[in-house]
Amino acid sequence: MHIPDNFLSPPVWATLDGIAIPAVAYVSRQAQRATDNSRLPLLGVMGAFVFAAQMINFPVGLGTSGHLVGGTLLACLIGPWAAALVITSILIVQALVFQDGGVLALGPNVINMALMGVLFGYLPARAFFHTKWKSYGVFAGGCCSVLASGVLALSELTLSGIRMPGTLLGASLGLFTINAILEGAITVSVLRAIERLNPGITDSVFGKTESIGSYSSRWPKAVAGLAAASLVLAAGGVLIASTLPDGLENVAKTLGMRFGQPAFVSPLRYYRIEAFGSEWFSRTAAGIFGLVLIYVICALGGHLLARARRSYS
Amino acid sequence: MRQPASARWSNQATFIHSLDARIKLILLLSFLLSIALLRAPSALQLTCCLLALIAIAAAARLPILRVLRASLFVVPFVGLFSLLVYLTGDASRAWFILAKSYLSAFSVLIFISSTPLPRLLAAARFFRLPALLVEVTQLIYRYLFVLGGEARAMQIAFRARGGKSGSRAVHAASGMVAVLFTRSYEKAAMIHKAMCSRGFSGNLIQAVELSPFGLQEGAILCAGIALLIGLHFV
Repeated sequence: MHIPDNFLSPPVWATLDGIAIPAVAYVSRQAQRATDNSRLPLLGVMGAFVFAAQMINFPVGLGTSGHLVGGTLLACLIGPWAAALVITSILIVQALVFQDGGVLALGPNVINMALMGVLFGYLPARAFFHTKWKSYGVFAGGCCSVLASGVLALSELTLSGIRMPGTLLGASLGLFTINAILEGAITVSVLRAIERLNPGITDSVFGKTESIGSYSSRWPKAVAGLAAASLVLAAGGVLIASTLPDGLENVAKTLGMRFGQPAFVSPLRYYRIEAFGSEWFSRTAAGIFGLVLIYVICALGGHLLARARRSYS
Repeated sequence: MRQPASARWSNQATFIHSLDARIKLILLLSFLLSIALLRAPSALQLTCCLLALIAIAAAARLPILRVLRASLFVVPFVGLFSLLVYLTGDASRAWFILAKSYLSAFSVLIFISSTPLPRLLAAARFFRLPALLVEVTQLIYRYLFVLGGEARAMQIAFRARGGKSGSRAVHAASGMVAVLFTRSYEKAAMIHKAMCSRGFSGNLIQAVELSPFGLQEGAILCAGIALLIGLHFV
């Protein structure tokens, strides 16, 4: 599910890169808060562990074998923030050293797998961790994590103007579902084995069994329900969008925008500098300006937030 | 598990290798950006890019044929995808995706084969990537091959003991991952002790000193970007 460069259209990857950069900065700050110096080697080694665990084959019958993806497992073992950070690092290593996934497409890949993949894996696991349905929660986490990444990747491709025929889309969604079920089952099995070897390893993430009861029972379940609902909505959206591409385009046209044009160009449309005489140059300049604008807004927002927090304390 | 060939190639002393990693990173990103922005690249533009990349690889004394072949790694996946685009009736776009993806992969491979990862990460740190992210990336790269080797050894041992298939094999594989996790966990504690005994104080990325930009670096940067802009007017 690593998207290579040049699959997505520039507006799509640029927007997602623009979202991913401040998001990763935020995740990294949260992870830093939960990590003291002695845990730094642990995070690195856990990343290498996920890499290595992906090499171990799980025979699933019919002569095929699957492997662990690891987002949910990592979130259960070292916490969601650290897990998202470690998966981001893994994606960077894969893109640069192994040419697996694009460099400009790092933003989309990070959002699909590191941020959303870990979030959708963590929430169900958290919701049921201290109940008797713990295994089902972890299973659902593994499933949702892979499904969320896959559906997001599909919808990004659709947004880039790739029209997939309905049968193919159905086939790939089916493939994602099989992968998701596999990931869920493998995660449950591996987590059980790890807990047998290292009792209490998940206490630092989920707390001890006695103390957490009231906390884990209510709102995380609501959040998990919400997450599941949004996942279903997104999946349905992709299906509808692909079966009715003309309908979607018509809606977009009536709203006054066309597909394949970045949303952030619009405020700059009238500022095209004719002297340069090049469609390409003006579009690029506008795009870069949009990115800078997003960056400035994020920086300002972060600054204001930090100040607000300081005045509280 | 061996290091990828690019890691071995990155320890040479050519002009390309000794160029500041920050310059190379900016140029790589600009190259990828300008490739991505070519909406309908002509054959001339694509050839220019390919020849320029080959020239850079030659200047870095990389084995050109092997690098060209290694970049073919992306083709099966991208090829499948562009076949799909081709079948939906967008023939020219399919070819563009294939060619552009290949050029992008080629340029990334040249970049990583001429820049040792620690220097690249120091450059990333210079561009204000979060310290924790950079340090974790460095550690992952360091221990990836150690743990990968261990995982492979476990699988060989499993097969040597006659492990075959069925639900017992799944059970055994989960056991392998669990043992791998336990070993990694213990290893992390030992690594931390070793780092502390060598004076680790919470700052990992400082091994490479970054010098301020010189005139030469600035000239190369400007020339590179001018060429990339010129590419769009060919």
